[in-house]
Amino acid sequence: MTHDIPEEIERKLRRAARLEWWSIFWLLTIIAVMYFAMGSSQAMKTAWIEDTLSLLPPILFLLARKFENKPANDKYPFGFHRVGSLAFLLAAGALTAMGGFLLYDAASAMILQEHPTIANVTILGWDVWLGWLMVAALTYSIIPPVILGHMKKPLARATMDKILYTDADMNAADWKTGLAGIAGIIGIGFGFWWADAAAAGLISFDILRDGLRNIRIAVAELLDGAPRELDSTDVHPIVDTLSTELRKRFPGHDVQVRETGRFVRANVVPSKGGELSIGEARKLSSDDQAWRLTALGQQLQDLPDPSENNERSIR
Amino acid sequence: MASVSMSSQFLRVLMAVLTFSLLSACKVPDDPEGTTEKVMDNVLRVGALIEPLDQADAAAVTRVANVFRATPEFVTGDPHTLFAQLEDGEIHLVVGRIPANTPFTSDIALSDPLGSIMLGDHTDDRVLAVRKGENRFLISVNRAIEGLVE
Repeated sequence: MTHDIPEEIERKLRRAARLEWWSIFWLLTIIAVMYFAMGSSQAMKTAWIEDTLSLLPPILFLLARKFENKPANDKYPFGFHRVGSLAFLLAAGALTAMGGFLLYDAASAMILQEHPTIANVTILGWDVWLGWLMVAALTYSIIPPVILGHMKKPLARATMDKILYTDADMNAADWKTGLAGIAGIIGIGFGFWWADAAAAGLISFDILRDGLRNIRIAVAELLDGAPRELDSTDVHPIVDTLSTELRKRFPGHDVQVRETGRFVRANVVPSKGGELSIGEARKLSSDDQAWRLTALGQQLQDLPDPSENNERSIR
Repeated sequence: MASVSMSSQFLRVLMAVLTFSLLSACKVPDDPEGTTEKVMDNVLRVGALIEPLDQADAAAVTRVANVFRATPEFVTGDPHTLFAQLEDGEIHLVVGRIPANTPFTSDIALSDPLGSIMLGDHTDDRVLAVRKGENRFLISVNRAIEGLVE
């Protein structure tokens, strides 16, 4: 089941893939830098885990790209468009679990009044407080993702790619994480032991919120919900446009629109009694399995003209 | 362009934060519980895990006391009591053949190594224990014992 994608979209997808490779490269350098500066700061640890987790969307995007255009086969007769949706759900689940865990971690540090210890280190003969190195590492960790995030966002909108959009969104919001982390470290510097845990709590709250929103979007797609907007759980306007147009061509019918990955599928069904009766189903399947067949559809290659009020049956 | 104005706004915030922190860097990091101020020109309360202290530990305590112009005052006791007192801030330093991999690391903070000790058939770095989160005090201790390792 190959589908023609306009050259424009295809080019944007290739460009997005290149940006995702760059993202992985920069993230790896950030993860390494942050790891060496991490020490025992809660906020640093949380920011580091967030950076490690943000490797997931680029990897999933590249994997989904690889599978998405594979032709349908006997085992997967509908093709692989939804591989991205599956990946998206998994990523959202991981994000939510991690956000919850980090929030718990920060809250327990707060309740147990754990005072973070950050000592000094000697680098190239200089005796510096490790906190300053953490601030430098956090500053570095902000810059590449924010730039890449702003570059990826328009591509995600044009290609209606959920993983790419989430990724760009998380990247673009990375400066909040970084700044919260920096505030936490500087807070410790001024002797406010709670600043670090508070910053970690804020960051993890952000991660948790992202995760929950993504789960809602992913579930809507996997339950054959109507196509959603990229950045919210609102129904996409394409549903209205398609339904109106299709109802003109098929009077007396209902239109169901769903989403498989970046693609949209519309079904035209009789407004009443769309389900197959068990008697009809028995004609097609053996008796004990017939109850499982609830609907029968037919794909159209050509659309009927809306003017001639045809009584074409879709069943 | 929205992205440009957004990053310049971000840079301005960052610059403000950095300038502010550099201006106040002389007192950073500070102690949340004020150990440095309590010890300075006063008494350094030291918990000794063994008695008498061996040469390396004794030398370290002297150096730390000198840095704070404080008089060392020794308390002896079992590890759990001394570490609990350290956690509560009743004593400022615990010494006595403490290895860097001590199982008490979640409750206390450790200084830089000041030498090594033999534990069974392997050697480990020898450290001092201070109260967790007292970062200014810890840094002063680290600077005091710097150069003790040969």
